[in-house]
Amino acid sequence: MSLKLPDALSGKYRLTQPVKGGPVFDFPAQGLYKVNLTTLSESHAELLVQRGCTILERVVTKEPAKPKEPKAPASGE
Amino acid sequence: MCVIANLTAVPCAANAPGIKTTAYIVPVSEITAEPGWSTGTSEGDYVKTSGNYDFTGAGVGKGYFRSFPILVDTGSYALSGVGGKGSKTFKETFTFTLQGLNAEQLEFATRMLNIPAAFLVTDKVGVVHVIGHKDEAAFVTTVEGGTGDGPEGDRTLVVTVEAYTARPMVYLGTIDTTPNV
Repeated sequence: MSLKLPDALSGKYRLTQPVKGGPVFDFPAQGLYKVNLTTLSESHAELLVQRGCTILERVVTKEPAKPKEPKAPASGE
Repeated sequence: MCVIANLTAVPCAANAPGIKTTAYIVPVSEITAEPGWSTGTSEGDYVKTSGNYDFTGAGVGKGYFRSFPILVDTGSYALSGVGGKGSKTFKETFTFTLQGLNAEQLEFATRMLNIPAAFLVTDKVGVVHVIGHKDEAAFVTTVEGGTGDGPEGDRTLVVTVEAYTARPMVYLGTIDTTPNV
């Protein structure tokens, strides 16, 4: 069964692939050890992403498109 | 007066030699599935992994990477091409020093002595190298050490592990350190 990130990270970070086992993992390449992915804090999630961990990524939310401003009417001059 | 910023204006590429002080071992008998190869086409992707180790079904209390400490600045990962023309592969060698000669170090050395295993070792740049695979495991080739002979000696065990591979592997996945329940 794949692991699930804590609800607090929902909408902010997501796993890029199913992760089995755990829940405690080492990330020596990123310098983080004994990391419990099911209780992962936001600061540790950000550290992992910043340091190039490929199993986690930020959720990019698209900003709502700004309403177009109406064009100014041609002056006709 | 020297301006330090001028000296560091063109930084050297980070290429620190050596390995980090934590490595990992798992008996290959506990591996259900090894990570696959990356299908990317960027430079370096050919030796990178895709996915994680799977230990499903390894049994309760098994199926995880055991971490162990290495005495700082005493370990190395090395590889060399071996074999005849047209048959060349790589021999990978992982050497590390266990500090102490207590029951803990002796038991660890004894247990790993004859186990077909896979090792993960992280170099100081942060690259995780895989030594040993399910079908081509790593084995301990030498264990040497002792009490040292005085104040300037070393009370250590030096272990050398070797494996052969046709393709070095850089691991990008997770390192599961939790035993199966």
